[in-house]
Amino acid sequence: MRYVTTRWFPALTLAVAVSVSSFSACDARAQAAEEDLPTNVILKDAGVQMLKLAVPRAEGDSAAAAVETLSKDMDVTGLFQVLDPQSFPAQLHSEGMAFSSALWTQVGAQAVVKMKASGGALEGKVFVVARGDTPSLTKSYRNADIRDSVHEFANDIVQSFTGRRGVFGSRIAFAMSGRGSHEIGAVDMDGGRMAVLTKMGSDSLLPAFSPGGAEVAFTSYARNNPDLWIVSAGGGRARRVSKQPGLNTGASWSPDGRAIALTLSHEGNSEIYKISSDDGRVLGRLTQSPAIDSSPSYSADGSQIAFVSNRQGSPQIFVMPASGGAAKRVTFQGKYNQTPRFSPRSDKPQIAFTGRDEKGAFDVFILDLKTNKIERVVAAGKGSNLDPTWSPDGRLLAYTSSRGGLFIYNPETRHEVQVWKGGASSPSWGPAPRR
Amino acid sequence: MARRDGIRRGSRRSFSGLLITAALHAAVFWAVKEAHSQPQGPLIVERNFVEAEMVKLGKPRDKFWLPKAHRDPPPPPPDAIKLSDNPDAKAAPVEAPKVNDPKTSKIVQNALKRAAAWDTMAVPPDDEGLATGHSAGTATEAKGDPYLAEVSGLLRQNYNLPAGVTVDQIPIPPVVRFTIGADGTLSNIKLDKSSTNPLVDDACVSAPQLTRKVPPPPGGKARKLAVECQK
Repeated sequence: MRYVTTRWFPALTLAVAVSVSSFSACDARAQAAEEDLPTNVILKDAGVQMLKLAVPRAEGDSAAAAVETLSKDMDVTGLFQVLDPQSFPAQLHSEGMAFSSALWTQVGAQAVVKMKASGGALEGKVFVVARGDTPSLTKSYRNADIRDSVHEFANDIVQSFTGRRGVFGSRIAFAMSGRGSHEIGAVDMDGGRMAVLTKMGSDSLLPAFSPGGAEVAFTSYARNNPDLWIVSAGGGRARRVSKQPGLNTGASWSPDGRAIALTLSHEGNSEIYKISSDDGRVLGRLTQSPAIDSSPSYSADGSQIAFVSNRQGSPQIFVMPASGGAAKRVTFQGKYNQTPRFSPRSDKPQIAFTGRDEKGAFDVFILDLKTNKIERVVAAGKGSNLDPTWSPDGRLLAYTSSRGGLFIYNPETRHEVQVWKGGASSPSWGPAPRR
Repeated sequence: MARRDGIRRGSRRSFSGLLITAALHAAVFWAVKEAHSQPQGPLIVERNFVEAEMVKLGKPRDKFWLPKAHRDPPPPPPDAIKLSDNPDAKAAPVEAPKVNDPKTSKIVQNALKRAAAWDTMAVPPDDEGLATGHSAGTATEAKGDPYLAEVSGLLRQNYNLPAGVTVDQIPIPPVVRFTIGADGTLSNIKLDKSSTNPLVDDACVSAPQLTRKVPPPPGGKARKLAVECQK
């Protein structure tokens, strides 16, 4: 018996072990069947939603100006849906710089901005409601004007949510239209601090900010010829840099600021030339065509120039090397495309331009040079929209409209804001402010 | 005096005129009353149709536009097939030529053989795949789970990232886990893995929260699902 037990013990042990393990496997399989946990569902191609942002009452003697400026800034970005402060209960307005995520969830806010503004000094905090009661951004600013402090804060808010700093503090120059002569004016990108830069006493048009933002080139008929002039971005006495007989129009600065591409017609036909931005010396002729070539625009890296030509019949957008040479037509839709503007983002090669639709209305279009897809910027029926210009970060577009004034548009969220209500044409967006 | 006579004559005449007028009015009123007291029948208006006559004006019309005179159809040719008058009569069978039939000509036999060979080579008709199907699937072979594809499509409609968020801001794609009830209701929605960006996590969790309900799972059994949210 002892022999038998000893002999069969390993076999019995093995049998028990096998049966136990098989029971466990069955149990695991049964549990898996109950749980049924596939993890291979992947959501892609997300839609875009503007972030719901609350800007409640601020503290301090500059509180009202700070709230007004920041609310406008956030709206202009097209990234945020600024909630109506009148919808907030009094309890939230009187919260001060403290924050309760539970209360703000009830009003539907995803993020809340708190400010304390005294004189030109600003203390700002940003709370992400989903993150709890700890601020995701806390910063202090000190400037002569509270608007400057708020713009800096707005740029930091944009950076904290998108990873790329905002461009508040940049200015937009445009040809003023209205009664009397057309001078060159400029406003902050939120439409504030309007300034008249020129006193030419004659029609001035087509301004172009220099890459550094210190100067603005423009065309003026002050000497009875459309000559190219340059004026300081702060205004003052303009200097004439190109006075070739005939056209000296449509200036576009090279990214290094040393050269200006423009249309000259002193040789009989409108062609694109490159001149020195210092003395207007002609550095080279870039187009050789019996057709009309005009409206040059440098690409972000300065290697290419987009321009308009009717060499194939109707005015269309072409792209050529910055040194001139073979031009490639890039627009094939529509019979009238003009005022091309290369995006300042070299990682996203796009050209914004004005096109005329089949009903004769002008509108702003964006051509993606990678996919050759064209997107209409503003929905049809909103008047004629003309002369787009990119923001320095390539995220926004400014243009003028037959509705009057200057508009800023975010192509990602399709959000449009009117920032300037006066008469304006051919805007040019200056560079982002230095930090 | 004359004036007084005139007045007298005038008064006499006025009185008789008044009597005549009153009598006439009375007669009219009586006639109207009588007419209204009569039972009224339907108003019948006699219609006298005008008989028009065609007249010839100007240039005679082209014969092409004039109505054609009716004529009986021409008699059938003598060798025409006579149709049966019996409505229940069966149609005459039309036999297709056969390959092995000695009556079938050599050319037709060869054509039939070629057609049979082509039939064997024919590709089966390619049906349209489902719009929600797996991209790697074909008309004959399904790939992936059509139910999960449908659920994924519904979730995507409510998957919206905050504007301005770039791919580099989602280094770790968040994962949300939830239960699909037997009736398709989504419950127990929980963030399983965070992206470290609360707004991106929020967008991922919001997708099933806003979708609320999907078609019931096949088999009618509740099942759990884990969904990874990418840009």
